[in-house]
Amino acid sequence: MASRKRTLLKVIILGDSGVGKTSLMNQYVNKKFSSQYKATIGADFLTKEVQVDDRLVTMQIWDTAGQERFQSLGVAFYRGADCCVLVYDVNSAKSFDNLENWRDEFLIQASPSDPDNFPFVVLGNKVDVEGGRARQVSEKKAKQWCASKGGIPHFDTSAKEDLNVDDAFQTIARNALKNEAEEELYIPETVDVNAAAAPRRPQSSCC
Amino acid sequence: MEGGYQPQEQKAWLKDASNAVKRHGFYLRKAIDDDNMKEALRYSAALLGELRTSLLSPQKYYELYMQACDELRNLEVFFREEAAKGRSHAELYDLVQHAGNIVPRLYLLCTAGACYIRGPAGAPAKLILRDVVEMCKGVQHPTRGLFLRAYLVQVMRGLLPDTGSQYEGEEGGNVIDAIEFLLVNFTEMNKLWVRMQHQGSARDREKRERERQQLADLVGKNLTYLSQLDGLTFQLYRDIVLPRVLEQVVSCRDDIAQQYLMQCIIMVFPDEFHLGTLQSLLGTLPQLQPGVRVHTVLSLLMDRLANYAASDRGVVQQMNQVDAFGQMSGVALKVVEQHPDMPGADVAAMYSALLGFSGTVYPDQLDFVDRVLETCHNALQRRGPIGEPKAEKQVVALLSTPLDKYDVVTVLGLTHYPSVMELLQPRMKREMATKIVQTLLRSSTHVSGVDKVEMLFSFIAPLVRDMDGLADQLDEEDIAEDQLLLARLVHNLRSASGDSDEQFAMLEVAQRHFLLGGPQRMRHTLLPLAFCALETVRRVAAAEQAGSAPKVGTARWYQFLHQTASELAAVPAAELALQLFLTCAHSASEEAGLDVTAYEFFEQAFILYEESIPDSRQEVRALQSIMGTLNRCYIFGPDERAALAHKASSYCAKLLKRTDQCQAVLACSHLYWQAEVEGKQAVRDEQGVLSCLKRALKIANAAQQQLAVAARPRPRSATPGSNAPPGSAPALVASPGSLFVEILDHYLFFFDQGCGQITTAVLQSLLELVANEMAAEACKDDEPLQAFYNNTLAHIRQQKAKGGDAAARYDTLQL
Repeated sequence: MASRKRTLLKVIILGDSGVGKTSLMNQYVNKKFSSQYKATIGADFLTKEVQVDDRLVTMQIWDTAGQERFQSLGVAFYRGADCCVLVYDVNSAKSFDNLENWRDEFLIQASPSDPDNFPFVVLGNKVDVEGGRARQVSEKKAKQWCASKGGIPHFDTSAKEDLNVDDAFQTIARNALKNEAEEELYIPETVDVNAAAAPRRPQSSCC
Repeated sequence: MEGGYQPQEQKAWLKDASNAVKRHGFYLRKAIDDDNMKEALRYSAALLGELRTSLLSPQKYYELYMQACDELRNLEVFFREEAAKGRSHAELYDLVQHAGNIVPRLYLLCTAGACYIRGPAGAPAKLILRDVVEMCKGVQHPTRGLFLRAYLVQVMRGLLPDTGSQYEGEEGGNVIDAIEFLLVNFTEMNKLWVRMQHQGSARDREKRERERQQLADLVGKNLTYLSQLDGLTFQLYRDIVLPRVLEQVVSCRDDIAQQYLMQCIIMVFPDEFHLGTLQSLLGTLPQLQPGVRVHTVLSLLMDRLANYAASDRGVVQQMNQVDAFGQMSGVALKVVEQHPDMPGADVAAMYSALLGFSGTVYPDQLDFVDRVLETCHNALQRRGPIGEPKAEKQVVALLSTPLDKYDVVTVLGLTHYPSVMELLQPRMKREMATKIVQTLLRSSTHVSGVDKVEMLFSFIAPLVRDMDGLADQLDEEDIAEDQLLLARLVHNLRSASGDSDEQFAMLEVAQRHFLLGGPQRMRHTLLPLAFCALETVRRVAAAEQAGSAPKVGTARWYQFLHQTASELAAVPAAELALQLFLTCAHSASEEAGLDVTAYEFFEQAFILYEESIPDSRQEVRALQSIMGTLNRCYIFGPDERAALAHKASSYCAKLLKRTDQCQAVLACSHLYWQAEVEGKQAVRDEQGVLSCLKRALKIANAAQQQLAVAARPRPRSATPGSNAPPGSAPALVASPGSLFVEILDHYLFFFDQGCGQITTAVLQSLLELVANEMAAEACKDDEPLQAFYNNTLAHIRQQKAKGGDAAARYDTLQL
């Protein structure tokens, strides 16, 4: 059934305004970076084909607005996510503190079937700023928080210098893939009844 | 048609539609498995047909839309595979247009168009984009049209002939075409969005506006895509994008759209673009609808530019070149003039943002602050008195902004600060005054100079005295709270040069203002004022003794203190005033060496004691203070001292309770025995000491007998409801037994001190007397008393065990 369906992984990037969500996605998908701040409005995605072990999968990466004012249609797109990426700016303690809220909000809105084991990945971005001297959140502190949430993988990244971005998304893809296997496929109650009810003519099946 | 929208119904409708999409999606995948293009298109159209609904609210429609998009991606993959097998994209592009309904047809056209551009043969992007964006005009229903066009930009996003993109070229077009595509789509979407406002009945307006707000991001998204184009140079932005976008914003004449889109423009495009186009951006603001909250837009822009300047100081120079501040204040003025109905709250909020901007960008330019306050004052004044709570809050915020950014005293000195504050009602003036004082305290700012102190008091008048229209709104607690702030503020009045003459003049100003406050306030403010003065007196006295007398000498300072304490007494606050007189007496005696002055202060304290101390509890406390202070004053000659000591000891006998009398007489003994202090003549009158101790013993005996007469049950330390005052050890006050131990302690103290009248024999007989008392029926079960007694005995044993001189003196004592 639907054998040609490619594996599609839905990944949501969340985090405060200005932490570099769009930059990380652009660096990963397009290998481009701009240091100008441009707010994102609403949510939409880019796709990228990735090789995970011996499987070729399509990753659908959803970039989101960090500012609430640009989230007018709500967060229905959380649903069906296979992995959630939480991004903070290592030079802003507040953006790190808010990860807790983003995570809670995601679990409430996406309501995954097994919230305790839902795959998150945490990225501490902008490690390049002032050669790390402006850093407010130590990697140790971040990793402690990640451990307390059930061992979330953590990466120090720099979208600007393309540091750890590929590695991080490789982990994201791998963890999303583990989750994806559990997803159920829609099958009509009985094929025949629906086929008959389908307008005009029944399926050309050979049974 | 669009009525209803009950949440329950919405859920049910969405569920139905969503199930249909799933079902059709299932057959779509099956058709794809069978390589059946015709069926695939048919089921795609069927599932997209669900998007023709008018029943769903935007957020529910969005869910359905996302689901349909997920299914469509299978079709997209199928198209690609078919093309790879040799089916022409042009044919597909034609084929999808056979779908019967326009909504599914256009979704399919967008999908096929995207594949066409991407495909191996690669249709020119420019042409397809132009075609599709034009065709989408076929859907004019706002919600359906907006989502369709959102889908269009989503699928075309990576296929635009942007600079450096693989789709750029002679035929494919260049970044101008990409911009054109996004601008056309933006314009069309905005039109749909605005039209929504004018559909349906006036009754549903609120609901409609809520739905429009929800749809806003679909329109704004185009701006995000524009800003993300690699080829979007500043020139293209300035010459094409911004003029076109602003033109659409202004001409749509719609409050919601203008409000939202202006915010989008500011947030979506980079800082340097804004700085370079400040004039056109700001020039748009006065053209917006009266209902648009221009100040929020302006604030957003100013905040952004302020952050920009903070991150890169080089930017400030650029800002000066384009006179950013001048332009912004110009616009603010224009906005205010063009919208005479603009609420005072919004006016204040706008100017508040301007102050925030100038505070961050030009931290040294206080004249900017004054200019802003002036224009704001003019604008507000025309709107009449500020009485509406929101406006009041904003004006307070406006006045608070510069307090945090600049030196408080300097800000208060600006010409137009008081005039803005004058616009407030008395109640808010008080709030503002509180803010000013709190900021001064928080920043530990010192106020120096008589004129500055006068100025400060003119701002904080509502805290300092009764104001018209305010008196009946404040209760005692409010006033007390204000005074606590003032009490702390007094200590921030400090001459910068440390000049005591200037300090004196400043405190005089403060005193003059405080004396207008009435008893309720003076009770709190005079005491800290006096202590500030006492602090300086110490320096003045030291300077005088060193031979460099300031103009205002100690005599004048003590007059000031005398007056302050007398005013406090008149409040009336006799106990506080008495304590203050005593503190002053000690200062005059020990710091300035002025015996006459010190005597006068004691006299005043005694008069207060005699005439104004209302109850016996306060009497006991006051008397203890008097004796404590007198004990530490060394300045008096024998006659003065004798007079004061005699007077104080005569008070002891007049106390009501025997126990109080006894303890007071014990304290009195210290008037005859001062501690040795280097350079001072300590009083050592053994006879005086002994006669006090004997008197105490007599009174204790009398108290004991009195107890027997009353034949009342011996009060227990733990008895609930005993009359013991809080803080004192109940057993010691209530039981005469404890008096004996206290007397013994005093004898031992003077024995230790080497007072010759207290001989071992005297002590021995007292020890026996006390031992008898302690063994008596009345005392032997009193545990706290016994513990007290045992501690004293332990002290004696310790002294005995010490060895040396002390042990020798204790040697003959028998326990």
